[in-house]
Amino acid sequence: MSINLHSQLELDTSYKLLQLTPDLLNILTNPEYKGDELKFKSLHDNGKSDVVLCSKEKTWSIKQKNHSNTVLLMKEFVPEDNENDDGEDNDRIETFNMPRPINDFLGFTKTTFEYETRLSKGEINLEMVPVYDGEKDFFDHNNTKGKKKNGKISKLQNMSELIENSCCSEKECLEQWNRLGGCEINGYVCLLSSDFLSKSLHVVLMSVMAEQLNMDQLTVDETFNAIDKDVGDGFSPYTREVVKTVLNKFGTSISKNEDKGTRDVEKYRLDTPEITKWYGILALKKYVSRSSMALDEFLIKWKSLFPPFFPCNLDIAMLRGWHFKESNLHDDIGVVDNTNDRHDTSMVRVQYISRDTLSMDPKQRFQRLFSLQSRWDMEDLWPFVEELNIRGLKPDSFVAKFARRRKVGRRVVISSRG
Amino acid sequence: MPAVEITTSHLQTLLHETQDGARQITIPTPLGHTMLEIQGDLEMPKTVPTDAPDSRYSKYNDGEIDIVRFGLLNLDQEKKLATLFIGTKQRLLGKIVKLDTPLGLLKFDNSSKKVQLVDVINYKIIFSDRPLPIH
Repeated sequence: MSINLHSQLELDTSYKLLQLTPDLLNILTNPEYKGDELKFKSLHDNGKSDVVLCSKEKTWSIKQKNHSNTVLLMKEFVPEDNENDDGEDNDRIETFNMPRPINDFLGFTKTTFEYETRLSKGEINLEMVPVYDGEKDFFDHNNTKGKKKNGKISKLQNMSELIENSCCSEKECLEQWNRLGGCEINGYVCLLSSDFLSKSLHVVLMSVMAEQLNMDQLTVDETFNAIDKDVGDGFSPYTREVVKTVLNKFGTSISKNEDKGTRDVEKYRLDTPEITKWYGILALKKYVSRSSMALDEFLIKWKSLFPPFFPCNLDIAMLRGWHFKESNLHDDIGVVDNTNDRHDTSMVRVQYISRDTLSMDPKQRFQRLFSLQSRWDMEDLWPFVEELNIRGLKPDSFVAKFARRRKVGRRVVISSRG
Repeated sequence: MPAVEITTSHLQTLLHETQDGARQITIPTPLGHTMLEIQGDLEMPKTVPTDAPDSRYSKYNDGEIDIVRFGLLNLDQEKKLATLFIGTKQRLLGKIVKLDTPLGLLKFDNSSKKVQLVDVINYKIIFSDRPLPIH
């Protein structure tokens, strides 16, 4: 088959090529595709900020991959009759002993790059989201028009605005929102402060236990009513929305798939390990942020923070990534293994460590961690360094770059190279 | 935040038809598009010469767009081979290859801030060797 090739003298520059990975192709070729499932999003319109591609559930980062080849995109067309020669043009074309051309292609655009698409983690954009601490006059838009006392202005009045303003998919946005303790107060989106979230969780647990509600099947309404019983006529920060935030953060929705239409009957199962961990971190911050404490004593303090009779099992391993240990044991015995019951908790002391205070430089961070605790179990160390593994190496390989790995019995012990 | 949706409306039916059954290599695509890649520059005139009439130049789109015939392409779809004659002196040998990742051809409309998926390209014709003379 021979084809005449033509090109526009002036090429169209409005075409771009986008790599379509199988999942992107699936979305675009789905018969249900309505035209709004895939969106390009960027934080700013100045062409400088990163662009991402978002579906309802996933996010892809977009990278411009330049090349120096000539890539010509052509389309089939029928040449217009040339008035000067009576359609005989085709016969005069040199065919170099090839069959006579039966077709005509026209080059209409030339591309110098492709957009590479890579599945990535979409990030919620919290730039315009203020923090709510339970104050009474927060966002009283009759008076302050969306202005918080500290001057931070929220422009976002609902979740769809937040999703629209975040470089991530709707699903990722909602998941992160729930995990971070996102809420809507007086018609504005905000995050509950850590302190207020703790208080709210405590109030929810107390009320749920007092009313003997089923912790595996809570609804927002019955939980809110249980709390409201104990509150007088005055201002209570523990609103329906706050209760919902607590259930979203510390519970799992178990009825979403069954009955999407009626959101009021959405049921939640409280996530006891997650709640136990939250109280554990509070205990670390409260009791051992400046100096260490014997582990068995710490466990008692931890237990004391819960509402009385709250059913939970405490295990220091739940607080990995939030503490380090000092051991009085002789070196030869090795690192204390907290994953089983063999160790003597009175010989181990724990202390809080905030990840926010650690260097983002891997070498420095490892150094600091070894200055606090000379030998680490891999499971204890990994949460502290995981975020620095930006190239996605295997945990063992990443750690081996900065520290010494040694087998002691069946365990792997990490220590400083020095 | 700037957000732009990708619409696929006009090629929806076609994408469906082509998904069913055994898919044959089609150069061009069912929608008539072809991707041609040459390792190197392809020099093309920028304007229509005014000094002498040249049958290679013509008009497209009701005379709105100047176009030039720059070569002849011969395709052997069975053997997946291609020969490209550029002008009267150069010849390129190439092949039809399947793309590792299909490419979506997108048209960006700056005035309406819309992006349309115009076609999905699965194959390209690539010429990666040096040009040969035409005997």
